[in-house]
Amino acid sequence: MNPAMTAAATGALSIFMLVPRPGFSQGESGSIGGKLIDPNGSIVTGLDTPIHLTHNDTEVVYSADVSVEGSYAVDGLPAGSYRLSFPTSCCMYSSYSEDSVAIAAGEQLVHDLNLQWHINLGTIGDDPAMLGNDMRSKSSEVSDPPPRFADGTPDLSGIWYNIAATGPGRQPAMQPWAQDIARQLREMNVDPIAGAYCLPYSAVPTTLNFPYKIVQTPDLIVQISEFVTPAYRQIFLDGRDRPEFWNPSWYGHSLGHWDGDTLVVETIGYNEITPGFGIHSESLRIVERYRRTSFGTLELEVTAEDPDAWTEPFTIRRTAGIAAADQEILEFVCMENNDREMNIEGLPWRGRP
Amino acid sequence: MTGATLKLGVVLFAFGGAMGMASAHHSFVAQFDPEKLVRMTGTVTNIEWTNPHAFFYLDVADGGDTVSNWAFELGSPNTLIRYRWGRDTMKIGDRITVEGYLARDGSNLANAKTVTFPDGRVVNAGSSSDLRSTR
Repeated sequence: MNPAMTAAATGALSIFMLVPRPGFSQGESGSIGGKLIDPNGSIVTGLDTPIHLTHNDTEVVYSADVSVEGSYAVDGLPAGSYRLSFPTSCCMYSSYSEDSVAIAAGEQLVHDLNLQWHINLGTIGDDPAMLGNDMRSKSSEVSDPPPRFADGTPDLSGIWYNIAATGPGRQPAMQPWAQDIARQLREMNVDPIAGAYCLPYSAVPTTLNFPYKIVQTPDLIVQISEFVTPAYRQIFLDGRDRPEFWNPSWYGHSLGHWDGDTLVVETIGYNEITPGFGIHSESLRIVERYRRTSFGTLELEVTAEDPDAWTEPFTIRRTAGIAAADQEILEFVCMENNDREMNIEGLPWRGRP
Repeated sequence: MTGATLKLGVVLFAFGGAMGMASAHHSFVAQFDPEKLVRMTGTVTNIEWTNPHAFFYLDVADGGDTVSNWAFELGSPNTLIRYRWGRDTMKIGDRITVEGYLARDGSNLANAKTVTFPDGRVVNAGSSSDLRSTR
């Protein structure tokens, strides 16, 4: 999604909405548009994800991206009753929906959306999706062809940020023993998030809604992910074998190879608690397929299988956009914030009296 | 309006969880009470520029002789920096007004969702561009 283009398009639609169109006929299509408003009464800016209008009789879905300036407009709507939905990603604003919005023939309905806080309660500087929009928004030459090394190998290097709100995830289809653990967690009403304790957030950090950098050499690819622990991950392309001795780990052991223009990463050796893929066993095996389809776009398909815990493989997809050239991965020491609980040799965490 | 239609667990599964985890290891909504919105004016006494959450502290007078020190939690310094909230944006001694939700544990702690600086600039959760325009 290109926020600049979206904003331009929405701007044009807004002008359209302000101009009354005389003499419309009964069958003429209508439109809906308005502002996105937060619980403070401020305009919600920085979002550029789609809003959907689903006609309650025909089930036809009409969609348009909201503008980063905080407005939306969907036109070409036949008269009728619509379900309105605006799915958001974690963590600033809750998803918004209405079951019945009536639009008459030719009507240009002004309809503001009052969004509620999501789990971060509007805390300043605490929304990964908005940070992603911000880091991507000034990227240039995004539609240029993907760069290549001299030997023709695609160059995946860059700082990437997944485009959020790709829709709700789903759980893998689990075997009964794994279902039972999931059920116990539900009954305990807990959703343990290892990342909240400065442990990893996901077995595959490039699926997360955080920025990451790819450093590529012919024999080794390194992924550096901000906001996660550990920040680095190694993918070996030098033809080595799996290690003889291995302690199951959060990111496992990753070997990569090229399948045409697609980087294929095969990982085994996970521990049974690494997050992001539901209840699984140490038999978890994950294949990632990365393909840079343009200078500014990196497609990722992740297929996981666990014959000892699931009944079928599980696939998730992400599309990442390149961050603007002036962006960089910053240092992030997760434990730093635990100063209240930490001391070093009896001193405060800074190690100074 | 029907609010959240996605279950938290589903969202976290899909997107890997909030960046917003406090030192107490909870999401904001677990740590702070959305029903207890407060607004305080006071003098900045300290700023902790720590990941994953920055904090600032305010001396707030209760109207009488008592002055209490309150902690307010922000997002991560990494994000604030990118939004052009730098180390000099707020200074010790600044008199500011802050709006946020109180901690559920009853301590002198709240999240900071709106900050009004001495010169009248208002920074809120709603946008990074708000921060940018304050520079």
